[in-house]
Formats: sequence, structure tokens, C-alpha cells
Amino acid sequence: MLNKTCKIYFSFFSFLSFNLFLISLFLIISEKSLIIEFYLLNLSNFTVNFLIFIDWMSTLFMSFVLFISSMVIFYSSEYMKDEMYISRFIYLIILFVISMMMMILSPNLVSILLGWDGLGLISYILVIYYQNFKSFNAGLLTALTNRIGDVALLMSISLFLEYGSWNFSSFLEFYNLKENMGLTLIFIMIAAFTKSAQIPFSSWLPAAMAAPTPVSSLVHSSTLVTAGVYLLIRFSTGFSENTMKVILIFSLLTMFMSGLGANFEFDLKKIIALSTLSQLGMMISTLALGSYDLAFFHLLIHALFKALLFMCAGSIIHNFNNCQDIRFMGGVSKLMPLTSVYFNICNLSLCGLPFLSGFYSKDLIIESFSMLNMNMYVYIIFYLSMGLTVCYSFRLLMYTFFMDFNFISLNSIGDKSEVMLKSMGILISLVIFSGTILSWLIFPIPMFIYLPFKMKILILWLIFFGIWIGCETSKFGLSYELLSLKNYNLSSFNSNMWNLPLISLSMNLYPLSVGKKLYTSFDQGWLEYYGSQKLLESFTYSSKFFQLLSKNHLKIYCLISVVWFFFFFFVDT
Amino acid sequence: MFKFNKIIFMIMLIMSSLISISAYSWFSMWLGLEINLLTVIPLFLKKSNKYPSESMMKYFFIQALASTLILYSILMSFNLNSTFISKFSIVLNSALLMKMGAAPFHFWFPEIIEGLNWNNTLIILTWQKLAPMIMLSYSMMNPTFICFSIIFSSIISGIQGLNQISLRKIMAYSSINHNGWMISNLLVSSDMWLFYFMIYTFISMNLIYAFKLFKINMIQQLMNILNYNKLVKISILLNFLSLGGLPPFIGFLPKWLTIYFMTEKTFLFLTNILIICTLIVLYFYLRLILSTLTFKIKESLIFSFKKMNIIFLFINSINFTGLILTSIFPI
Repeated sequence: MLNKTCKIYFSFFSFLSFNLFLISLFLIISEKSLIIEFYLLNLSNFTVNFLIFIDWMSTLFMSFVLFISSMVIFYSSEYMKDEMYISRFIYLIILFVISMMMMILSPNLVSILLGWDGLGLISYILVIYYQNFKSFNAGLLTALTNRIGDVALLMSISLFLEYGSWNFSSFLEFYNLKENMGLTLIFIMIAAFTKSAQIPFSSWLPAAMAAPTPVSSLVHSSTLVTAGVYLLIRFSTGFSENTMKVILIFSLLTMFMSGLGANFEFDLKKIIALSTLSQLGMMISTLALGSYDLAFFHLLIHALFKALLFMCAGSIIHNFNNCQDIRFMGGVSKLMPLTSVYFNICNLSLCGLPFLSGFYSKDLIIESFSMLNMNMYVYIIFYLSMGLTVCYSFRLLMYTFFMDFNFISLNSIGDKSEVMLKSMGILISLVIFSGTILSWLIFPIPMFIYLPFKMKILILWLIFFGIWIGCETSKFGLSYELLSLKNYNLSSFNSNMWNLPLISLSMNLYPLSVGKKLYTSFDQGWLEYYGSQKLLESFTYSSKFFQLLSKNHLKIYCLISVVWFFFFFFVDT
Repeated sequence: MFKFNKIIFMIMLIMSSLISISAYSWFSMWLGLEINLLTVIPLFLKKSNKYPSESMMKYFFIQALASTLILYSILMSFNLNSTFISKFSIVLNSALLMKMGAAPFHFWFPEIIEGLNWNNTLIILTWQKLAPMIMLSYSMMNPTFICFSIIFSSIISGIQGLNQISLRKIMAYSSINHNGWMISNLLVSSDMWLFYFMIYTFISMNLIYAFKLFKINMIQQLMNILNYNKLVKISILLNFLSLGGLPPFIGFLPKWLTIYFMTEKTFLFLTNILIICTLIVLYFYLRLILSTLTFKIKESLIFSFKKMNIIFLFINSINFTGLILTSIFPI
């Protein structure tokens, strides 16, 4: 039983996605880009126009977003089957996709802001879709962190006033020449960091996993968080070298931190969220090193397999009666073979197993990265994060699919839901093949990579090392002595994302306490005393005083008036 | 009972004011004012209680005092080419301000109004101000003095009106406030004064007609009596907002234009004072009507409401829509 709304939008979105893919093929081949300009209002010398920027990048990204969202809508018709307000849910996802379109298509900062705000708002509504305190807190954290980005974008809009137009794309190179362009682009960077959950703002992404799983699949893995990356890609020609360095350091740290944190995490969705964070860090660091097309390539492929990974996780969570703790899972590969096949393909694609889609982007990124002239710190962090990715992926695999079955004995686990399997099955073909296809499309001339053997083989060593560590850390049994408990401080530091949630929560404390002080001493204190209370008091007093005057006899007034007149009679002018 | 003498006095009252305002010489103006005083006093008379008599006497004293001074200053100034020298201009202006009840000479005003019935209150609040004001507009030699009077009017009316519970006194204090506005209109443009005066008369007439109809004397009676009918309640009470000068009503229009004209002639400080003090006046209007307007009291089914006639409602509808109509169909 498919929901009618789901059906309509599934077919509509997949149709649109296919067409957009064809358009992007055309634009890649013909090397063209279109700017469509709508004049909404024209008053003397003031025009309001709406721009749409269509190049291969935006159309390809849009086609991927629409494809994933159509799959997610199809998937959620089964996943959210018992939801009473499923149409509302679907409409929210559609609104989300529309604001994403707005963001992707516009070369104008104001219309980007519209889409950007829409993304923030709708992701907030989707996170608080389940009405409980955890969702509520996570939603507020998401919304407020995204609000920082909105404010940064607004600031950059106001700074852009200097240049006479908000259409940045047409003269972005020119901005490099301006001195204070750096500030504008720093604001753009902050905005992108909040959306893509880079390091000072990364606490919201794992918290946003309180949303329903289809939402996590679409919103918090493949579209919303990539909006920041996309913004950076659009602005990448304008960034100065120093800004790029800042971006590189933060994104590398994010990558490392989330990879490490995922190894300490036991929540299935949070592990995937942290892996998303790590991949985002990788994209942004690739971007910061100067190859924006590689970053975009990885963005697209990552969107595919991460969406599918979340879908599989959702299916598993459904079967485990909404239990997300991987310590309760195990042996899923026997019970849900097809889902676990999908899951493993995605996971291996994430690790970069040769000839799966992730391999094409990640291998290219790593090797072109090794070609660069970077310092040791960046190099080590980058490679360690690669190893950590493999490590948490294999830990997850071992815990969930291969170890003993740990769930309660009263269960009913199996590949039962046809619609979910179908939607995942459509996606899996792309997860396998899209790497090759896209690499042929985006890089018609293959990159030339020339490395010494040791550097070439280093990544392989790290991967095998990661596999080994991952398998080791997932060993877990009765009377097992947990090593991480011995170094409790270190492990809690790492599992809490380097205390980043604490920062974003305690950042509120200072303004709140100042606000309380201001409220008690000004609003309720001096302003009240010298404002309304003083007014009341003085009115009462003066009113009483004048009332006293009016109690006099009439003859006194007449006398006073006569005295006043006599004053004039006797004054000689 | 049809009282023939009252009709005669009424006609003479109107005629005397017209004599005053259309006279060519100051002496005939004074003459008009005297006739005015002598005809309005019999109108106050009511045999059933003593309060009108008291008011009558007080009114006579004050007006006679003022008239004497007017006559005196006229006579003193006659020798100098029929123009006023400054100090007699101030005396004349003071006397005229006393006659109309503007602020530094306002002491008699609420006291006398307290003793009168609503008809006579209306006469004192509106018609009796006509002649002195026009005479004032002829003789304003010293604008600083007039400005002082305006400022006093607006401040005193706002502050002292806060403390009143009698509706007559509240109307009196609001009249003092409007005096301030009208005198400031005289400073800038007499056409604007006429406009203000007409609209003020119109709103006061509405209100006082309603008070007379429902026999309301104190502010707590507003609450009890006006709950017969929602339409009546609203149409009466929103007149107060109009009187205070809130935008959707007609009362805003003259204030708006006055502010415009005065700022154009750079009476900025005076305009500020007027606006701020009118805010206080508006506050006590709101205090009067807010409880009546917001409390939900059931309408009585037994007292079916017959007193309200269609003309009253029509006039009130002009009050509500006047501003909008004038903005849509400019004169």
C-alpha cells in the first residue's frame, strides 16, 4: 500500500532527476552554462531580479538530490507507514528539496539566503518531528547553530553592498583584488562551516539524528550538510590563501575528530552521522587544497552511499524495534541478508574498496593530495583519518553483522519490507556504478599522478591497519576487560567529540547570564524605577497637588487674577 | 414643557456671539460678549436644585471680571491709532483666555461645569469659546504669552484630569486640553482653527448627547448603563478615542493637520509638549472606556433598547469613518 502523496512525488522527482541528468550531460559536453534572469520589479533605477544559474554542476547536483529524495520518499512510504500525518512528513521533505533547489540554482547571495534559511527551518521541523525532549533539544541545537550561519550569510550580504550586486558568480575573481573581501569570505566560510558542521559547530550533526531515519538519510547526510560544501565550491575562486589554510586546518581536525569519535560510539545512526562528518571534512579539506571538482565529485558519490547507508540502518532499526545500540545487534547478515549486502557495499564503498564508487573519488583525492607539497602535520592527520574511516566501518560491520546475535529472543527480524528493499535496490546500482560514470563525466582527461612506491602503498597499509584495529575493537564478550575504561578521561573526551557539544551548549550560558543581569537591573530595575513607576508616582503627586489648588475659594482666584492684571496696569512700558 | 423664554435666550446667545465675531470695532465686540453673558445666564437656570444657581453666580462673576478688563484695555488703547500696545494686549489676551477657560485662568471652569446640566455644559464647552477665540486671534500681539498659555493648558489638563471621577469635570479638563490645541491653531492658521473647532464640537456633541440620554454623571455609570447594547456601547465609547485623537477616527484629522502646520511654521517645542500632554489625556480617556469595552457583560433582554435613534448612529458613523472618507474623497 503506497501512500498517494508518496507515489506522486516519487514519480515526479525521479522524472525530474532523470531529465536534469540529461541536461547536465548536455552541458558537460557542450561546456555551456546558462544564466536565466527574471525581472520581478523595475522601478526607475532599481530592479529586483531573480537569477537562475544552470551549469553542469548545479544540474548534476540537483539531479542527485532529486534522485535521492525520490528514493527517500518511496522508502518512507513504508518506513513511516503507521504515521498518521505521513503527508505532512512528505510535504516537509518536498519543501526541503525546494529550498535546496533554491540554494543550488542561485548565483545570488540573497536568493541563496532564502534557500539557506529554508534548509535551516525545515531541518529543524524535521528533527523535532518526533515529539519528545531529546528531539526538541536536538532540534534547537540544530536550528540555533544554523542560525549562526544565517547571520554570517546576512553579514556577508550586507558587506556585498559595497560591490553593487549580490550576484557573486559573475565577478568573483575580481573580489580577490579588493582588500576587505577577505572579511566577506570569512563570513561565507563561517556560514558554510555551520551548515557542514565543521569543527566549532559540529555538535549538531550527531544530535540531529533524533530525526526520523529517512530524514537523516536525505537531510543530514547527503543534502543539507553538503549545502555548505556547495557554497564553498561556488565561492572557491574568491578565497585568499590564508583563508584556505584556516579552512584546511579546521576541516582536517573535523575529519580526524569525527573519525576518532565514531570509534567510541555505540549508536548506529550516530556512527553513520560521524562518518558523514568525517567525509565532509575530507571534502572541505580537498576543496581547501584547491581541487574543487574533486570535492564536488566526492560530494556526489558520498551523497549516494551515505543515503543508502542510512536507509539500511533505518531498516535494521525497524527490525530491532527501534533499538539503535549496536551492542544489541549482531548476526544481522544471517537474518537480513539483502539489507546487510547493501549495507556492506556502502560501507566498503565508504572505505574505498577498489571499483566501488567511493574508490574513484577517495583514491583520486588521496593521491592528488600526496602529490601536493604539504607539511607533515596535514599529511599525517589526513592519512590517519583515512585509516580511522576504515577502522570504524569495520568495527560497525563486525558488531552489527558478524558477531553473535545479542538481541532479545522474542524478535521478528528479516527482509520483509518490500518497498524499502526496492528503494535501496535502486540506489545500490548507482552506488556501485556511479563512481566510474561520474569520473568519466567530470574528468574527461584522467589525472596524472606520479608518486614513489612507498607513498603509493601507504594508504593501503593504513587501510589494512584500520581493518585490523576495527576488528580488534569490536571484540566484546562476557567478563571482557574494556581497555577504554582504563583511560576513562581520554575515551570520554574522544567519544564526546572533543567536548564540542559542551562548547555549543555552554556558549549560551554567558549571554543568558548577562541577559538575566540586564533584565533584573534594567528592565525590572532602574528602567522600571525611572520609567513607568516614576511616571506613575510623579503623576499621582502632581495630580494631588493640583487638586489641592482647586480646593481654594473662588474669590482667591479672582484676587490672583486681579493682581495679575494690576501688575500690568502699574508697570510702565 | 415648551419654554418660550429659553428659545429667545438661545437665539440671543447665538446672535450675540455672531455680533462679537463679526464686529468691526472692539467696542461692539465687547458689547457682543456682554449680551452673550447676559443671555447664557438665564439658560443655566433650573428651579429644582441649587447647583445651577451657584454656577450661574460664579460664571457671572468671572465673566464680568473678564469683560471689565477687556473694556478697560480697549479704552486704554483707543488713543493710539486703534492698535494695541503690548501690555494692554497681554491684559486683553488674559481676559479672553479667562473667558474661554484656558489654563492659567481655568480655575472657574471645572467648578462651574460641575453644577450645570449637560445641555449647558455643551454650550460652555463649545459655543462660549467661539467669540473669545476669534477675538484672541485678532489681538495676538505677544505669541510668547500665548505659548505659555498653551503649555499650561496642555500640562494642567492632563495631570489634573487624571484625578477626576465626574464626567463633567473630565469633559472640562479635556476641553482645556483642546483649548491648548485650538489656541496653537490660532497661532498658525485660523482656517485650521475653524476646522479643529468644528470637529471638536462635533465629537463633544456626540458624547454629551449620549451622556444626557443615559443620564451618566460619574465614570462608574459608564460601566453600568452602557451595557444595554453592544452597538451603542461601542459607538459612544469610541468617541472618547476620537476625542483623544487616535488615528482611525475623525478626531485624529485636526490634530494631524495642526501638527503638520505647526511643524511647518517651526513651533517644534510647542508641538512636542502638546503631543506628549495629549498622551496623558488619552490615557485617562482609555482608563474610562477600557473596562467598559473589554468586560463581557450580558445584555439585558428585558430592557429592549428603544432610545437610540438612527440619526445618532449615523452621526457616530461619520465619527468612525470620517478620516477614511476624507482621505478617500479629499475636499
